[in-house]
Amino acid sequence: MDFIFDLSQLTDFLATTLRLSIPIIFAAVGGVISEKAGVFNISLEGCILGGAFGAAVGAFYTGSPFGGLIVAMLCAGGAGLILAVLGVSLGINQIVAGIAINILMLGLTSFLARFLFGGEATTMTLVGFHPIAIPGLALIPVLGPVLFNQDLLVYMMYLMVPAAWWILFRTPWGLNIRAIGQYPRAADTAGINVQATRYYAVVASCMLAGLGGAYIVLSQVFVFTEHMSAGKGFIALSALILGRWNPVGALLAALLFGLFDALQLRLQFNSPDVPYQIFSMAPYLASILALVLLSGKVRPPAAIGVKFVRGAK
Amino acid sequence: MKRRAFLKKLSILTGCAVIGISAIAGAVVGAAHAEEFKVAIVLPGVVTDKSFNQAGYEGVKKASEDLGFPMAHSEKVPQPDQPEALSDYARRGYNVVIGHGGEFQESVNRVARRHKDTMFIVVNGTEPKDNVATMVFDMKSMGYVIGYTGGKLSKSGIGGFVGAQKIKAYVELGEGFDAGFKAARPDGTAKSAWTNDWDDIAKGKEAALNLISQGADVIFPTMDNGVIGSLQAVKEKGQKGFGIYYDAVVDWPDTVVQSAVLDMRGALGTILETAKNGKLEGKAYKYGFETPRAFRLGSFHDSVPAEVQADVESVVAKIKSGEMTP
Amino acid sequence: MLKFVETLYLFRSLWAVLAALLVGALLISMTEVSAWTAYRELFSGAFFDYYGVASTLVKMSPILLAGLAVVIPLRAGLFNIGAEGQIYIGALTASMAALYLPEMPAFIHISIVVVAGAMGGGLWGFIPGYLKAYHGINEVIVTILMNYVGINLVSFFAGGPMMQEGAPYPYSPEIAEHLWLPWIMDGTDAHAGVLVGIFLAFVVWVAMRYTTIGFALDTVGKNLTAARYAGINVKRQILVSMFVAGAIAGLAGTFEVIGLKYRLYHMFSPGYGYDGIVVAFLAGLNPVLVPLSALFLSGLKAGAHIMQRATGLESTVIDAIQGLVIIFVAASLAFRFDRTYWRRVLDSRKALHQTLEQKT
Repeated sequence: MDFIFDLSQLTDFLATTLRLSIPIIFAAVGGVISEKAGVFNISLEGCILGGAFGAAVGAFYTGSPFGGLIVAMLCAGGAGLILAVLGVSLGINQIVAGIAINILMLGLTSFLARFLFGGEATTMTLVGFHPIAIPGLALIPVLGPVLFNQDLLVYMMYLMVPAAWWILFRTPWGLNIRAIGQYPRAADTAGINVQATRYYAVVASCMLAGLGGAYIVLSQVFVFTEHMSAGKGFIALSALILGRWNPVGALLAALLFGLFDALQLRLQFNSPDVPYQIFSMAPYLASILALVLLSGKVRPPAAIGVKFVRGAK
Repeated sequence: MKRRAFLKKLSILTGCAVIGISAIAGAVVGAAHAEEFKVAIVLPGVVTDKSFNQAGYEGVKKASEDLGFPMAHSEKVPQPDQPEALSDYARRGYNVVIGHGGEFQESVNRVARRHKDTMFIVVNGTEPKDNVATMVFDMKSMGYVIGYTGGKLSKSGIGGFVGAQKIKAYVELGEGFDAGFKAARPDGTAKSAWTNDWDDIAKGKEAALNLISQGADVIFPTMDNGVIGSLQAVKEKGQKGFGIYYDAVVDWPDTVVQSAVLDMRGALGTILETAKNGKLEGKAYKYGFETPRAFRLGSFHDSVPAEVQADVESVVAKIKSGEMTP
Repeated sequence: MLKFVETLYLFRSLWAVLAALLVGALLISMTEVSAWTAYRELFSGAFFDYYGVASTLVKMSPILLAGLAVVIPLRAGLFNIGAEGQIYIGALTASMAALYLPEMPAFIHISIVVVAGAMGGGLWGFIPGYLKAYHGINEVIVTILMNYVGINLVSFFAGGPMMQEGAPYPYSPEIAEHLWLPWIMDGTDAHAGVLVGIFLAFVVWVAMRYTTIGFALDTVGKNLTAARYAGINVKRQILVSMFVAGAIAGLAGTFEVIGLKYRLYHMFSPGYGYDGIVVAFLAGLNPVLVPLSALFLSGLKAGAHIMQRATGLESTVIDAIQGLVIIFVAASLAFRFDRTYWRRVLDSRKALHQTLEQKT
């Protein structure tokens, strides 16, 4: 644990924390938007994977990370569209639909990656984003290099979280989303198009998760590997709960998850005798505890997972 | 009403089962056990990892082309599915079934008891038996030579070894690295990190970054897919790294300075030739610097000074002649 | 004609499966292997080959039990996503009972092991049930979170205090041979767990259909207010159904240990608990149909490996096809036969026909 007292090592540790949190932050904020609109998005995991795959394909064929970013959002948005059709229009249980999408994305991305990239899949290095230091700010000790010597996607995240919060809680559009998640019948009476709004919310949610996947490929490792989402989507689900269905809360919770993960890695690397599982488990226990302590005060959107049928009783 | 709903569901699901029947119309059930020699390899990771798994897969493939026998492979087989995959190949009449990695030893022991007519090979195995052969690489010597090279090249005096799981072969590799590093740099230290994951690239990268942040400037990563992540970190930070299983200098021109070539093509080629001639025995087949077809150093990067190259060559020669055992 | 359309609707899951396989065939046709060969190997391997059937049954045991663990609480409107964690904890407590209890007659010991496994899983189901009943906390979320806690706990024990010394992988020592479940097919790994599963499916079906338990659960699931008026103790129903579900999932984990692996492995379940959710929905929440849908799904999984070994086709494509099958089947269930709509359509068609005939 002595790394905490060494400035340069502390910087590295916090940088690891942030790196590990970014995909979770994107996905968790995406999840908040979808769940606020009343749709469970278990498929966040599949969307991250779709985004990662899309980023690799886009960067590979256009030779530019921006191409990767666009294809990533298209792939993840496509997954979101499937979820919307199944869960919103057809009224299939959203959890079953989400699980199906996760399985589909896992198989499809692995299969297509081998088909498109062949044996070179893991050794070719894709073009990606590189850190841009913000003059002045990057010089602050410890926090400077951690927060302000990052690449484009991280800066996008800094803007995305407050924007999501502002849209959800300060604009009529956000009010609509929250209304259809709480009480769709009333929202419908008030003239909100429940189905359409849910479609937008789900697709946007998946696109954000897809950006999380794009970050892994375009900023972190520069290759696509099978199942590289490795459960981050489910962690994002927990983070949004711990964050009390609020983008800022989700950000903080995701950072906490990232911190525990970084700590867990350090322990695994340096002191293999300490059971690292305790730290892997801690964020989940914290989430359950938070739910118990906050129960009664914080609830998920009331109409979550419920199909809305116009005119039905 | 309820009854009808039940019958309905029943008919639907029997329908699903019927699909199977229609799909196999005309299919011959149960493959005939041919007498020809064939080989299967079961791999823990993907065959595109440019590391341990790819080396094994290509080794068997090369041997099957050279010696003219059919082969099959299963990749990404997780620990719990190992026995099923191994025994399925044995039942399908494969004469030699290879478990690619020390973690197959326990499953092979279990399966080999039931399939006495099949020969099993465990790469990096620990317990040879009646119909179980093992392939043992002199990991300690390889680690020693790589560590020695690292010690000669290190400026900071700190070397870094990255492993995935503490399987015997890799523990020895790490110990050898440590010993070799200290032999070249008596005042230096070698640190190690274990990731618990063979394939996670991001984890491999974090592990290497972590070692570099502790001052290590020569890194020897030994996972599967994870190696790529570690070498990326080494490249980004402008340090030096070592390749494993194949001559990696080509793929990482300014990062990798030397490679631990544990040549599965050569090793599997030799052992499968023995097997094809019906001479494979349940014993440990050993590979070291004295069997260069299977076990050798790769090529030095141009930046490595000639006197270091010569030093390293002499250490290899000493190990080869038995003058020195790390 | 109306009858014909109704029959078409009856088999909509079947059409959905066929459609999914057709889309899958497109994916396969991108490779060198022909889709026909691939499917033939898959289905003949999974259902018509002695050893193939055995590996289907090996997978069917946990998938079937996990399916039941999802069906029971869902009748009361509770979503148990936690079967995966319950499987892990069941396996953990069962292996502890198998490894650390003093020597005793085999018959007593095996009963204790099975009960311990069921209790462990039951406890893991009871906790979210309790939080739901007394704190109103969403059980979907709690069960998801508890899966991770369970998986990590098993990783900790299998790689720490319970790990076999010198093992190359995190697993416990082998349990005594007298605790092993009997095999049901000679020379294979197929064990009696699947028979217990089928028997339990039948028991659950009888209990749901012919006892007040089933009625009470269904009432809670369909109309909470009515349930309270009928004097049903809603909280108790929630607790009991989640405990029973957890216990059944715990059995799935127990049988993996004493029927198949004889050790506690870390990460031993590749998501059987999630498969249970899919199976429960494919069976339309009817316990007696769960074995059939479990058979289908485990056949698909076992067949995928067999197909990969036989044809060399990437097994990843089967993951994609599995996802497609679930999506298509789930979507098909949304299309219900609407008698009045189809009567109207057919009537208007008839009328059109008649007018046309009169004109000519």
